Amino acid sequence: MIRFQFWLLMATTRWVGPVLFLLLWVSVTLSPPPPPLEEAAFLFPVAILVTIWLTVIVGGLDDKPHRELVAAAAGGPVRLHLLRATASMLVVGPATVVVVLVVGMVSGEASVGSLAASAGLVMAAVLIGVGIGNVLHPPIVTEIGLAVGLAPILLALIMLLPPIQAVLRMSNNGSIWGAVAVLPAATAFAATLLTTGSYIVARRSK
Amino acid sequence: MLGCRQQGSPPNRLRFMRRTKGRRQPEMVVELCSAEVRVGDHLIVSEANLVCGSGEVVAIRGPNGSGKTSMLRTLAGLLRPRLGTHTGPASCAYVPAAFDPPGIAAGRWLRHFPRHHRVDPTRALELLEFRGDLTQGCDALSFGNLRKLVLAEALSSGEPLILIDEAGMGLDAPGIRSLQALIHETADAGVCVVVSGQDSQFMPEFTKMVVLRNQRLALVLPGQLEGELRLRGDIDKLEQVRALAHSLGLVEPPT
Repeated sequence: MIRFQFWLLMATTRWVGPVLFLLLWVSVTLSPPPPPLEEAAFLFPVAILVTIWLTVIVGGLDDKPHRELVAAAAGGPVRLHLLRATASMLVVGPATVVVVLVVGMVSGEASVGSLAASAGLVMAAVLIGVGIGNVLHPPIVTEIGLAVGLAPILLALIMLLPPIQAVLRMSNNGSIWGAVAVLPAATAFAATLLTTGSYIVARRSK
Repeated sequence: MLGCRQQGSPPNRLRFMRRTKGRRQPEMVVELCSAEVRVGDHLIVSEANLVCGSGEVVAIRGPNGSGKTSMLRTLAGLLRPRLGTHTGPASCAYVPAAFDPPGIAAGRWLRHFPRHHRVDPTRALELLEFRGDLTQGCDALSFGNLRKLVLAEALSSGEPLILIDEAGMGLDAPGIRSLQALIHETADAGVCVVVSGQDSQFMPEFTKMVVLRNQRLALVLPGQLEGELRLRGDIDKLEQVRALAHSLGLVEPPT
């Protein structure tokens, strides 16, 4: 199912926007290459935004009848909804982790701990992005304009949260503990939003 | 058969309604029990009882807007009844009447469409006389060829339940004949096939037919069955069927 979603995504050009945006951001932050934790902190909001973007794209790849055709094969609308969120995470997660690992290698200031913490920090961002993105596409939000309007607002709200600010400050100062703390919190956040999304999808099919 | 086990209706008594050519008794594949189906606030059907078994071809008929598609979506588990229960397989093959084709190449769509027990769809494509280019995007196929692609995918899906909305839509005459043959071949392999259509449209030879009218499901006994029973002199069985249909509240008279 995830491979099928990947091919559906590749058949459109909608993925180009978020990928270019991510590459542009990375290229801007790479001169000179910062330590991996600092790069991960720079990448944090962008990873959230790009993941929301891609999750919304993957969720809205097809119209309702085709989505139902796939949902019947997947075992229901809720299962399809979760599988599409997983597909988005599997596309963006490894990509952002590779970016911070490569930056760590290039900067030459990387230790195993800081590389792992950097990967954890961007994975936390991806989880938050998937959580938000999964409630911004059909059948929950059917108006793309509404999703486009809500995404930056939700991103700003997340970034303004004091714990997130503290985590990013710690990461900029080279401390791995912020990243260690944010990953389980982001997992819980994503799980909550995925459960909420699934509940709404289940209600919509009634 | 119409009726659900929870209500104490006797499904076994209606076993002889299907085409029985030495086949085993069908196992229940999908069941609606006292189901009330709504789309938004709009009532589609109430008190719907339907059991579809393996190897059966079930036809759902009704005029435009009567709720055939919603019934199929309910049987597929895509639309949950507000009241009553739906019991069915974890996954199934559902063919919508039409959809906006994605840009993915038709061959890739077919190859990567998620199925656990896929049968090679090449034969189904050949039988349906698919004339499209599998290397082209689905959006480049004609409506008829796109329909044949999706039908071939469903009929080779290996799923226990296949639901086809507006079965004959978009198909040419040879395509319709082939679809009819494929449906029966699939049913003979033990798959439950449910098709919907309007009265004027193509319908395969069915095991049973239900009609949607005035928010009620009604069973129409297959004319062929009645003919067979009369031919064999099984008037008692015919009367039993009629009596049972009447006791289940089926308003449609036998055809």
